[in-house]
Amino acid sequence: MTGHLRDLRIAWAIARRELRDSLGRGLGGFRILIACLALGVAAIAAVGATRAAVEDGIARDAKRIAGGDLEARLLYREATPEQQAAFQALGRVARIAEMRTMARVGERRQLAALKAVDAGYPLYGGLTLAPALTPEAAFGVRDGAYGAAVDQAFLDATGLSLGAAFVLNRTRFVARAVVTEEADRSIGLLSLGPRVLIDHAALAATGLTAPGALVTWRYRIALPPEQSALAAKQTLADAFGDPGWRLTTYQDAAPNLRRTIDRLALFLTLASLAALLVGGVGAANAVKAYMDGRARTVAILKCLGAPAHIIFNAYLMQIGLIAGAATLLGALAGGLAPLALAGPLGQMLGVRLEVSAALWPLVLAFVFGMLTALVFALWPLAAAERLPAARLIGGAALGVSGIRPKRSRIALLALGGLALAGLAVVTAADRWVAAGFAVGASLAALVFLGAAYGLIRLARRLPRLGGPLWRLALSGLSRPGAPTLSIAVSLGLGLAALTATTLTEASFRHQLDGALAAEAPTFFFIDIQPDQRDGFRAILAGIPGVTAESEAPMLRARIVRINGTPAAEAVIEDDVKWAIRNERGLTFAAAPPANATLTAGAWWASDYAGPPLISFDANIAKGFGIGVGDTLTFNLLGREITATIASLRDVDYGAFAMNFSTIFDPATLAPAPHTILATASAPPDLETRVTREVTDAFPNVTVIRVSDAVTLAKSLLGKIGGALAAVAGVAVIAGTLTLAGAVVASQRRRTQEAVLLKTAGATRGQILAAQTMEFALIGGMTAVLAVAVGAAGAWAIATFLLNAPFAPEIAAAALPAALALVLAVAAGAIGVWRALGVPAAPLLRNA
Amino acid sequence: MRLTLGSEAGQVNVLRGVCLALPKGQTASLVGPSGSGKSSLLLVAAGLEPASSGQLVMGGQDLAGMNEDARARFRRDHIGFVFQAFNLIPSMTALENIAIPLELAGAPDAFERAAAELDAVGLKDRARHLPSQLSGGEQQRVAIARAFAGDADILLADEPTGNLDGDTGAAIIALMFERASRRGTALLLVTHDTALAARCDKQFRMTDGLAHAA
Repeated sequence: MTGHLRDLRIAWAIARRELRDSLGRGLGGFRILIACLALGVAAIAAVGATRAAVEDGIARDAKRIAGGDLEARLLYREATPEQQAAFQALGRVARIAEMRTMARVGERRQLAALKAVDAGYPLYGGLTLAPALTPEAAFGVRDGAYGAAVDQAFLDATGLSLGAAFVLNRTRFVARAVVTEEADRSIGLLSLGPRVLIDHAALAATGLTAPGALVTWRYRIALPPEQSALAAKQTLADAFGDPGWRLTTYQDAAPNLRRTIDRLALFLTLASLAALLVGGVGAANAVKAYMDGRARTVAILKCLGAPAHIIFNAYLMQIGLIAGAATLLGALAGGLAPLALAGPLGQMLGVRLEVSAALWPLVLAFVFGMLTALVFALWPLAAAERLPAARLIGGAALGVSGIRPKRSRIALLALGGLALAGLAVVTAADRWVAAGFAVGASLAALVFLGAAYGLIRLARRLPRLGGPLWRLALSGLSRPGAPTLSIAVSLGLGLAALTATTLTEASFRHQLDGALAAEAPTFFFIDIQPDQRDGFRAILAGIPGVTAESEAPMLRARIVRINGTPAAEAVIEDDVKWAIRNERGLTFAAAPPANATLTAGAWWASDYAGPPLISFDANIAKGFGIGVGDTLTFNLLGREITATIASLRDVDYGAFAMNFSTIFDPATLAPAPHTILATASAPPDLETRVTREVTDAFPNVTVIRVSDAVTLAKSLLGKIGGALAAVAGVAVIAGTLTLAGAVVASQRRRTQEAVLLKTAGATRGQILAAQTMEFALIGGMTAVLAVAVGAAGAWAIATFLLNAPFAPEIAAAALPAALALVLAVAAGAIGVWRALGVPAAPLLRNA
Repeated sequence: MRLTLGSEAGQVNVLRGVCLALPKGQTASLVGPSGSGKSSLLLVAAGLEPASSGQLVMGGQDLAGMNEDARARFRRDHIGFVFQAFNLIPSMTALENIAIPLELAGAPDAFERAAAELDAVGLKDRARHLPSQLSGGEQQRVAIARAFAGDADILLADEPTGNLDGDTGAAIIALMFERASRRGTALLLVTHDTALAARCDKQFRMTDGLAHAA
């Protein structure tokens, strides 16, 4: 057996006997270690496992969610007969039309997500109606009215009941059934308006599909089992090139949801990691307390000739086993999270959630836990191997405080820290965000450490003025082994995480409120036909108190080439990729919009009639790597138009104003079929009247109330904020556990001190006051710092990630601060109260 | 040999030029008042506290030139300890406490030899007991068995009867001397008990960091 192996075997023999002893007496001091690690790891595993479950759910039901193996999607227009024949040749086809429209129910007006389907629908999954009607019975003409199946939310909003009538444009419908399951309901977290399901004959009868109306046509194809979706996609591309449609296979199902989940998972994972780091401080305290308790054994082993590395390995193995068990427990508990969330989350996302078979998220959480344990346990373990055994004979107190580890161990600790940060960065969906978190968390820890050191030094140097209680409190803060550092760092980091989360959400909410109050119009009117423009203006002008804000022609087109290079092949920065993903709204104008700020180039002359020119969003242009003079090619209604960039503009999408990334010169686009988008402001008491008068006159016009969109965004924000707050709450629990651990660790000292003070004539009230004052000082400092550090984090997130102005809401930040103070003082008071209950005599006899 | 220790309060000359020799197989006692340097001399002799200057040669090897791990291995192979507070490892059974220095030395028969040592001190039936389950005298017997298990060249004993009653202490001393004599092990004994000190081949008195033959 080689020397190394033999040493490891001996270390294991020692570790085994020590563990047998520790576990034989219950978990004892390991409880805090286990709880701190398990909590943080469970949070990370829960996020990872839930994300995997959602991805699994999407993959498992991809064909159902996508509605077919292959989909051709067109805006404004149907596929040509040749194209439709090609779809039919590939397999079974379902033809679907989707648009937003206004439903009229008596005096009420309700925005609805209208969907027209044919007999082939759905290709996969089910369409369940209550009562269970056949498509003919649900949608066909009966008693002069078409039938519709609607969401329960539609009935709730309009006050309709089944069997009652409503009007779409000028056509009468009867709500015959409630949609209880719609297999391909486009899943997403934001959706305006409840579903109204009809058939194509009814849609044609409504007249809503006039040229320029924003209708999305989808042709879903179910391929024979042996046919690959990619091959079928290629067949269509070969036959028709790119006629302005978007072809997607079922493997691309729910791209927006996937992106949202990735992003959300990133933030939740980082928040969980913060919780784990907070728990790490508790783990470090627990390991230090354990090693203090084992210092005599270490000294004996040294006397008996055990080299330092055997001692280090023996205790590393022990802590490694305990940490491993705690981490495994946390990972397994977190892995079960999708079970608990399956109901509410699955319903929200439209995905069936099951516990994922993917082990990777749990393995990752486990590795995070073990690395954290290593980083935080290493210092006390490495200090123990350098414990001077001479203390065994001298009768000096034995412990690991104040012992500096070997340089190689400190290097190992630094390496572990780097590995932890590196793992967080490498496994993150957005590495810059994760790197920012790693730097931010390290800085925050340094701030709390620095402040705690400062407090200790200050307590030592302050003149001993005031009464004995004040002096006792100050000496309690600064004496060797005081828990000041660990309380400040652990509780501080936990509360800073909570403050950052709260203030970030407040900033975002504030931005929505601010935009709504200051700049937002009350209404957006969509799909106004050009020949309806004058009538529309007249209606608004006829209602006193209503202000027509702005109008712009609108079309939708997709960027297909950048300077001649196909958009899919162009090198584009991630943050602007959304601009080429789908069709985007664009307009044309003779003069620049009132709110436009040109950053480069010049606007065209009002009578310009030359080759196509555009004014483009400066930020997107930067992400595309293009500027004035470069070209973009758009696919508009199947036609490609290549335009030269004449100018660049700053566009603020955060404001609820009419914003277009692309503005064409009027000569190029005015002849194309388009609709008008308009905005208007109205006092709340006129909102219903405006909606009614506009939709009565122009039933094809869709009215969107900005307040509805904001309410929806706020509700989503509340859900995301809730998830983040829950994870930040785990960090606070970890911080509280650490605090409790620190109080327990100092209990013996506290008890001795209390007994001696009682012997000297101090009353219980005086002792309680002195020691509570000590914790109030730490808690107060930690509270103030946690608010400052958390606010700085929220500012960074709001400024650099969300592009939202930072909202320093004192009330939102005050809660964590108050919590810090209450927790610290309560922990201290409980500790002292227990110490006061110990009778003096036995302790004095043994002193 | 000199030992100077520093602290915030200043430097203290703990050993101020101690010079003594102990031939193999002989016994020596160190007596003296508290703070005279007895325990410090024991620590330096064990290589637990490096001397500030001077030489410590044991079995022909100078401990002064060794690093911490080399001194640990030297202790393992050449030195046995008996403490006033017994200092058995509380998490290990009596047998394991005796076996541990043998295991550290890589002895393949550590437990067989430990069992024999335990038998030799009359505690065969206490093998699986933890220190907390043994009386003070029994604990010190186990400590003696542990000290002799590795065939140490020298046994360092620090007030070995300090925590024991008179009869038990006498029995322990008899056992220790008997084992040392049988093994040919040198014995350096720190004690306050002058009668016990007188049993040794050589007697030294420590005063203010200096050792004088008594």
